[in-house]
Amino acid sequence: MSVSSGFALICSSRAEVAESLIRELEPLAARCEVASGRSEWPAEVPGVAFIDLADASQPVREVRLAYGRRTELVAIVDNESVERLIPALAAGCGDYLFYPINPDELGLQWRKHLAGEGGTGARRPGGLAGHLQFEFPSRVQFVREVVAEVVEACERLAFSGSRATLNLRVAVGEALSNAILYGNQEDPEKLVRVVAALSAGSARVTVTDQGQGFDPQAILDPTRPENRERSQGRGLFLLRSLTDEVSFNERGNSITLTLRE
Amino acid sequence: MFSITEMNGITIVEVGGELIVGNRQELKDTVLGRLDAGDRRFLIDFSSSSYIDSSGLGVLVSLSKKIRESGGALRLAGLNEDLRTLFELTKLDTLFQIADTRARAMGEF
Repeated sequence: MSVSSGFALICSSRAEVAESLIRELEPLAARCEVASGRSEWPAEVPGVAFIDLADASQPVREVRLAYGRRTELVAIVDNESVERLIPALAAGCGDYLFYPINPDELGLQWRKHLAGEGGTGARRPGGLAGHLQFEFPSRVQFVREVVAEVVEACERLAFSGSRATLNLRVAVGEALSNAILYGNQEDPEKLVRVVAALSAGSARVTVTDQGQGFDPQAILDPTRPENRERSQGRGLFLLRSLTDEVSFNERGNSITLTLRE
Repeated sequence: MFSITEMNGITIVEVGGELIVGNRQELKDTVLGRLDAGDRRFLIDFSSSSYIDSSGLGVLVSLSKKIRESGGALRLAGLNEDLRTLFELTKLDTLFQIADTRARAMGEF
């Protein structure tokens, strides 16, 4: 069956979430159906499925299996479910909306969908085998999940052991924290971009923020006795200590770290 | 994530999971709350913790300073091999009193 682009499937057991989506989508000529935790999906192929990550089932993979890539998947996240966003993006969601829903954002997304542009595209993870790509808002709650995705991909495609579970984990975590805290100053409107290239025995990860950049030479050595009681300044030091190569772009808002087995 | 017990006048904070940028503030608030309430001897136990990042290390440094300035003492215990590596790399093993086990740390107060 071909895809019905004007048909929106809403996967949420929370009535208020479903209602607010329907309230905004119906004036945009969308037909909506709510699937609240059931295992049988409508035979008609939806153009978009909105998946509430607060639900215990959060059926990203099930919806992907039922409809394949014909259906665009949009995650609905709130402050409680925000840690599930990165796994949902990795599992096939091409975009996301924060709940409570911003009507302008939803309207823009729906019109892009009807125009065949498939959401913002910018947030879409994926790429070639061995490449991982994410773009996410500057919230420290995301760090854990993004790091877990990169380490898991490294163990699958590049190398395993403590080089992955300690060195890469710490280095990527520190690069993300710096990008969120110092680069983007925790402004959730600003995004952090992660690109990882993984091949047998080698992992290269680039983290880019939307900040002004900084001078890496200006960071003090935290191991010197006079700096040891400072509460900041260890991230970059750890990152450098645990990787084989570190480089910055000229502006200083993009760091690339390389680790070999 | 952080559970608190008190034994023999020592406030024991157990870190479950990870101490990272996403939850470091919670640990800071928890310990400073007890310091304000009059507690002076603190033991942070990492036996159930697998990971700490530079933000977590930074919070420990700042807590250690505040506790010391209030006339108290902070000890750490139960670091796994990865955590020890991070303390050694940053030379924080020279700044903190670190014991292998909770029992040993309690005996050293």
